[in-house]
Amino acid sequence: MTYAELEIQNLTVRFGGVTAIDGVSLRHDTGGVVGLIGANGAGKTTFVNVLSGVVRPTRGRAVLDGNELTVLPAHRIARAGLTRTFQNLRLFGSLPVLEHLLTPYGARRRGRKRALALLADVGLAGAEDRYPGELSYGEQRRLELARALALDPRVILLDEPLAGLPASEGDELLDLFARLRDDGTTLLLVEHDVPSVLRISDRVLVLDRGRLLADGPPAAVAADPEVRRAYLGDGDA
Amino acid sequence: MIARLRPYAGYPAFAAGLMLVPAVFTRVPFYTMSTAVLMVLLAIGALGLVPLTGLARQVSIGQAAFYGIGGYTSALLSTRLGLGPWWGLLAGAALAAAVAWALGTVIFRAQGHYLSLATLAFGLALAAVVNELPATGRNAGISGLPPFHFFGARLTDDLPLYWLYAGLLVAGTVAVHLLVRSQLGSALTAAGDSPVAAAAAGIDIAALRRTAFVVSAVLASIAGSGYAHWFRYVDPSMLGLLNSVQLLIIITVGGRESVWGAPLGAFTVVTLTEVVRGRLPGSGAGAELTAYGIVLVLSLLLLPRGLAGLPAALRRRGGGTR
Amino acid sequence: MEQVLGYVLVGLATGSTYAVIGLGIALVYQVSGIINFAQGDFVMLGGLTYAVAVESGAHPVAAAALALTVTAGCGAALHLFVLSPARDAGHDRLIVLTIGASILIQGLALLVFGADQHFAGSFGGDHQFQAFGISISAQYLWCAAVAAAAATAVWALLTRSQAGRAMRALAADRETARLMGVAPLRTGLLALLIAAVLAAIGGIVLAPIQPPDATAGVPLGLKGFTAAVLGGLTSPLGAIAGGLLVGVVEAVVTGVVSSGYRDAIVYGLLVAVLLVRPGGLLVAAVRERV
Repeated sequence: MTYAELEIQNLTVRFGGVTAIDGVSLRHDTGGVVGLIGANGAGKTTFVNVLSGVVRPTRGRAVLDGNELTVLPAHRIARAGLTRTFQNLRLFGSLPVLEHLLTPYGARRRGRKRALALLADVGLAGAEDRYPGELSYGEQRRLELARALALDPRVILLDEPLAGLPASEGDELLDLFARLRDDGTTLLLVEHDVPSVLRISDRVLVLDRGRLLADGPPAAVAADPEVRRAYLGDGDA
Repeated sequence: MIARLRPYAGYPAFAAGLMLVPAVFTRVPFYTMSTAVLMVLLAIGALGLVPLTGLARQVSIGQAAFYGIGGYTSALLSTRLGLGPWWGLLAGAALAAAVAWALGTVIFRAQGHYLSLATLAFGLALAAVVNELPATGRNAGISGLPPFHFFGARLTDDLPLYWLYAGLLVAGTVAVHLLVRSQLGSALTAAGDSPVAAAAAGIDIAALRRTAFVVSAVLASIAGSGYAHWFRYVDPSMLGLLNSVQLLIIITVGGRESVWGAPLGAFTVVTLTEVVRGRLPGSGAGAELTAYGIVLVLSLLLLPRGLAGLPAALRRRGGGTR
Repeated sequence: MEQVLGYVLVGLATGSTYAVIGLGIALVYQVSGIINFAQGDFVMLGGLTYAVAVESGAHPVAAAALALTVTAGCGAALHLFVLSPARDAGHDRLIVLTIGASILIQGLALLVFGADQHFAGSFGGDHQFQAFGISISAQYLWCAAVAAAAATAVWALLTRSQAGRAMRALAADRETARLMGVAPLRTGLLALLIAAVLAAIGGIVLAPIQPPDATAGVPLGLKGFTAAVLGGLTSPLGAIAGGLLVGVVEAVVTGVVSSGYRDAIVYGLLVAVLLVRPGGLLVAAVRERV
């Protein structure tokens, strides 16, 4: 059996009596930006958590390039080429900025020069000796992104990377995402900001109470009457 | 440049302090060379908690088990097999490392703070076993251990023994310092700051925590062997909970994120113990435990980075925080 | 062999008190995420205060009321002066703070009560009954009855009251509970108070069977931990089952094997539980709040 780059089969996550993810299946071939939208509690963060190994699925599986992610511990998933950022920032408060880019697996081997280049990519040039506590919120978000990129991932999961950022910084990040896509990285973008997602994504998924409500190109999803009724109707308010 | 050298700026002061101890402790009424030897041994034992508790934020309250493993291995090898003290010290360290590796492999499979519970229970269980086994002399312990020899001299007096153990302390400090400053140290710090983010960065936090636990066990065991060949006698009280708690207090008061925390904390805690025992005669363990409890709680609330963090804390007052 | 059934009976009775001690540990862990190492010292404090008060002529009911008040006050002090000033610290620091509180309570108890054991008579006089060929003190029935009543009261509190719902909400999902208006600090105080009261109850009913001294906290706390960990620290019912198991193992080992290795086996039980049953622990790992 051959797999697409990322293949998800009947993925289900239950916490006690609550079903957070309910039988999601999809396949995605290399590259592009996949937008994931849905109301609060639709299961977006759980989806990111289960793919990155923070949460075990109750049923189903996810496979990246033939590696079954859902049986691997979190650090092996990262090494297999899938990394993530966090909705609530999780930086290493006691480590200087540059160490954030040298500590991830394999990053030190790729060298200090490459870490500094990554910092420049996310607009943090010159900040290498500072500590996360000294950075602005937007800078901290970009540092998280750089840390996730330091593993040279094939797929990167971005959990609400634009939340709390002023529009100008948000636009800079969207440009960066576009550059990453052009370099061949697959981005899974979980976002509240629906217009931004529709603008940048090549494919949009809509989660509704754990189920995949819609899946397709942005224009088609935006036009889907069920999606408009369930979610987009009050999304622009 | 100064910032680069700052981590090593402590060594001249540390060396000077260690060299001054004999001159001072033999002249002032309060301290003796016995307290000096005890301080150095406790500092060696507490040193291993810097990577484990200071960086990886894992709490062990069973270090006395490894202290006891070192002491009893030394006692058994020297009295039963006639092996020299250095062999006991090495064998104890190897056994402690093996036990910590095995325990750590299983405990760190689960996230959370189970190490504290597991080490507490393991320490008490081992103490109870040692108290019952005929081979370990039950509650009478094992006596008649030989002293250390160094270039042919029998080290039975406190002063030469102090120099030997101070040398071990310096070697241990350098080793732990190198570890803390290495990429392993960065990874341990990352895992302590945010285990979930560290795992997402491809870091195997279970293996890391186990490594730090093994290092802490080896240092505690070396301290235990040192104690055994100093007192030339071991008994089950070596494995007592109070010894584990004492090492935890030392590193907390001294500063768990810095290698200087171990000697600073050992000096402070042993001094405190002597004050309480000297000034409040007859009050026994009650006053000692009360003092330990107060010092531990206050230092965590008021000085979370301990005495070693005091200069940085003072520097940061006035200026912003980081 | 019949005697073994008698030991099991005795073990179930003492185990029921370990169960309520463990229930307190699990409750605090669920609500605040803290492993409270002072829980055993609360048990000691309750039992010792009760025994000393009875020895000095107080009516047992008054002595029990005093013991409950002292222990609850100690629990409140632990929360207000030690844990809540450090609420922003990591869990590792909070754990060490509870260890500090534990030795502080033990030290103060030694200073106040001395190192001696203190004795309190069985509730309602010293009655014995025969079962399975051994003679059992009626106090064991008191243990089981009081522990069952305490566990039922906690269950009612958790399921029927607003405060109980707040505690369960915090345990299930901290962020959401906060958004719903649950105050973590006040709820944490309540959980610690309940834990202290449960500990004191355990200490009081055990006092006539295991005369307490100031150092009794560590072994009692460890039995509570074993009970709580058997339930994965997340399940109150698991904690109760764990407590009963600890009691039975302890009683049977003491009666059948020897009392010498009793401590090693009872402490080893917790190591064994942590080693062989990470299944219950992994449930907690998923929801670890970092």
